[in-house]
Amino acid sequence: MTPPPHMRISIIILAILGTFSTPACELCSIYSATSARGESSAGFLLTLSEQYIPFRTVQLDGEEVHPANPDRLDSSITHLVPTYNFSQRFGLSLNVPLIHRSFRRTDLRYSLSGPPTIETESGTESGLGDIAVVGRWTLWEKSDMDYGFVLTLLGGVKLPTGNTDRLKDELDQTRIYESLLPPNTPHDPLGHSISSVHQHSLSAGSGSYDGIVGVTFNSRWKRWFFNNQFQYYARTKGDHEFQYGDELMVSGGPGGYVFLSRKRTLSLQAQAAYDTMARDIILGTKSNRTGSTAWYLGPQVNFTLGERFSGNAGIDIPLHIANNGYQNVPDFRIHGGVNWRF
Amino acid sequence: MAEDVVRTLKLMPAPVPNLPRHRAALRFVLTVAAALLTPAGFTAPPKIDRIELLFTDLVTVHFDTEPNRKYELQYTDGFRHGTNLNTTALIPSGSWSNLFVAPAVPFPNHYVIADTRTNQHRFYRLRATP
Repeated sequence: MTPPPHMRISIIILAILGTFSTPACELCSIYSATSARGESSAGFLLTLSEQYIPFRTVQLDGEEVHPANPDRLDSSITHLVPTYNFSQRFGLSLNVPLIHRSFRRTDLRYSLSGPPTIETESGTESGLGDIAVVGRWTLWEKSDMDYGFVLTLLGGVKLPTGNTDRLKDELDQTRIYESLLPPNTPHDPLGHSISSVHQHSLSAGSGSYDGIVGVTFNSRWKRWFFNNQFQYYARTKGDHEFQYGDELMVSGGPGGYVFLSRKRTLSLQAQAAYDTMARDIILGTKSNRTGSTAWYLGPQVNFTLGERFSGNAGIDIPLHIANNGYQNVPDFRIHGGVNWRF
Repeated sequence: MAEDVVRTLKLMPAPVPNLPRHRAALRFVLTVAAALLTPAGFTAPPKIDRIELLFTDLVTVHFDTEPNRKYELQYTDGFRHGTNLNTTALIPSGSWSNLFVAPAVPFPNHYVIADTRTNQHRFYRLRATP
């Protein structure tokens, strides 16, 4: 059986990784690269990263559908992350997200003065998202020229700094729709909406204080490495009685250095990602039109220049996305970032 | 283009009469047989589930929709008196206007359409295409 295109890309990358020869003192370079990424030294580190996701695939309960005038959403989030590592083991980061979302959506607008109207809205939502403060504690580290292991715990809190006007409008619609129903009528809290791009997907903020916990495990043997990340977002009730569902993200995969010199390194990694979001809770009721679970696979490139500058770029191609209800889901995810260690 | 039109005049669903036992059994058998013989892709006729008063100035009309069908909720204020058996019945007449059009979406949905209350009779009907 012929593998699908995204699988073939990953197989080719892995095949290429296996063909590179080992240059002299490659481990010195690898060791320096780890330092350039700020993973093993105290001091100030500044990271600028970007994630772009076009949500243009429309799915109904996990199956792709093709409506006549599909809604669309293109999401760009730029993260500015200053970090101060107090020591090799402890660090504190401030994650400042700048959000830009371009969208078009057609939805009903209910009112208490007449029949609902159908409105198509095109536009952008831009601004500051929810800032997060995240601490890092290196629980276990073993590092040598030939190999290295780093187990790191992350913990933090996401603050309600982003605008929540979109949430308010969505909840206003929920309340109006509910007031038109006879008491105790079972219904979904997003039953008023016929759009596949809900307003909570446009909101820059959640209005909630959310917990963040994570674990990263990075291992290296000679020129090969295997990295894993685990992140869990415990959501709490935010503004306007809206509570986003908890989210679990697990990603990682094997990689290897394909270019090594004293000043520069380049590595390639096959990255798999699992991302699952629980259903949102609206006015105390879970909505069966929210929540999803997705699997991605794609390549990632990491590089270092000198002892202070590093970067990475990658693309995640969805293998399977199971969503609840009618939603736009990612066509793919592009992400990249640069780090400067002062 | 295929379309179904259902008219409704009542404000509340009519009560189901008590049927004799053998008629109820026959009705059950016919219902099961109809369900088994129904071809794939069969679409049910549009149906207004409920019409009720809300607050002091509104009437709400409730209906369910099937996937990928467009529904038009229409109304008319025109009527004439029936001339057959029941001469007191009012028969809608005149032109129908759209109160609300539910676009075809790929999932079933429930709509509650609010209309302003008037001092006269108003008739509603639901029309679905295809």
